[in-house]
Amino acid sequence: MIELIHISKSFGQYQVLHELTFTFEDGKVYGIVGENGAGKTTLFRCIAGLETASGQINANLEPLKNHLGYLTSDPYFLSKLTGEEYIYLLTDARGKSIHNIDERNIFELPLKEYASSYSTGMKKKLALTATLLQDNSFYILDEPFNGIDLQSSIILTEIILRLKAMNKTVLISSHIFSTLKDTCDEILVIEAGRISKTVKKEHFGDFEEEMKEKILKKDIDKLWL
Amino acid sequence: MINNYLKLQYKLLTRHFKATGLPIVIAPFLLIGICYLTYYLMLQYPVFGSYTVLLSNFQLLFLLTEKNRNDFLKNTFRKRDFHKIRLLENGILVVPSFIILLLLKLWIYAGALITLAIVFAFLIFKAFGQSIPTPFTKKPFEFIIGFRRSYLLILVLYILAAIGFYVLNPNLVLFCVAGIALTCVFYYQVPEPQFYLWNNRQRPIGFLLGKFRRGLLQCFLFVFPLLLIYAVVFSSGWLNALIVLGGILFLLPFAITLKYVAYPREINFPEGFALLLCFSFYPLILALFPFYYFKALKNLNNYL
Repeated sequence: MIELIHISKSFGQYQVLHELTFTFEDGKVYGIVGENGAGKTTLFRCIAGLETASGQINANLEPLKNHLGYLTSDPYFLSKLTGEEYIYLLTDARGKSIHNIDERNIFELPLKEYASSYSTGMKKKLALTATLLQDNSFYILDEPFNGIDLQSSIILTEIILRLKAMNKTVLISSHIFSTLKDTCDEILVIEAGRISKTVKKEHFGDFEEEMKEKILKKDIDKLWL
Repeated sequence: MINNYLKLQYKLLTRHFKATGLPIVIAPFLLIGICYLTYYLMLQYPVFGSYTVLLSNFQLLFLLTEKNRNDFLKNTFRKRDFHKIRLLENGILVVPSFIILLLLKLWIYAGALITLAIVFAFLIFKAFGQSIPTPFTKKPFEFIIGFRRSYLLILVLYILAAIGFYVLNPNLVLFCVAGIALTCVFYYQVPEPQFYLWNNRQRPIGFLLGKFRRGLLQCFLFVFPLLLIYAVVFSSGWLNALIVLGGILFLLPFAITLKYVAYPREINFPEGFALLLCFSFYPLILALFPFYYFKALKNLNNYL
């Protein structure tokens, strides 16, 4: 369980998050949606402890960061480090020793090659593999479906459902609604740093329709003005 | 076209210098100061000083041969311009050392330096297969990356050490061991992204001690075979081998400590100056170490 109590975050004069209060329960998958710049990544970074924020973040496992796997939207790889070495680096830092790495390479990545030379999708899959092999209790996946191929999307969806079955808490941000619909129990809509709406699984259909109507009316028509 | 590229490189260099916090006007004085210091040290130790200058330039020239960098230059410029640029870059890089060697009338070394600059302008080092193998795979990352950036220098130092054993020159062997240890110190020059530190579950004290342990083990993997052979071949000089070993035992952890004092920025002039002070009077390391160690712990508290 991760509990956010009145989380606020500013960068200078610019307030990115406004008094966010929410509880992420164990064994549930949460989708975080919002426009670019709404504050999703900042929220993730605050939960991870990579940014300081006012308010309180509590978890049933402390310190939270040692039980949290964080897949950033744009994973960074040091040059001259192979995929295999990156996995060792991340798992070793959490005190996990991985032996049969080739068998666990479900995305069939070229692990002996330099990770910095991977394509965007491969980088994401490598970072995800390393994060999963850490065997955490909580996961933050920032845009995990971005840039990955159809086959890997299917595998990733299955992985998220397995994590849920293992009673792990997963927070995902994605702009692809179908992936959220397949995996999430609840969706949080963030607008200008505030949780403007929470939608339970049974209302995902209505929410999708509502979003479509709102967005399409607002933007597409302008093209043919 | 070439002019613009060189101007851009100059701009980048000045930006790097400004990032250290020092005013750009002192850069030429600093360069002259370093050159003078090198000249002075070479007057004191002409042979090993020349080796040091040659090997340092060798490593810098080798870094400029990096494949991606050269691929970019090849794609951007015509073939003739590409070679001109590479020759110019190498030439500019070796000019200060070349002048010092000429002033000291070390003609052979000066000739060797120019030859190196020309040869390296036409070389591009590609990876062996997919990546350069290292003995550190399961224990990333400083030594893995550092080794891949300096394997040629390590190889040259090993060859020189072998020559030292062959001609029974103990000083040459110890010079090579010290050279390898110094190269390892430079592996800690680049800071890792904050995410890598965040990912670590250890507290600062455990993290830092773990880094010391791993760094020393990996460094000893390079130097221990040489020191062992040294102790056998030059049995009367075993004490020297022990002194060098002891020197490494403090030098490497000190460099690691400085890295995390400076973190998240790169090691800069204040830390570099502390390191230089310790080189000029080694026992100083014992006095400075605790001060920087606690400073590093305090700094790491913000990230771990």
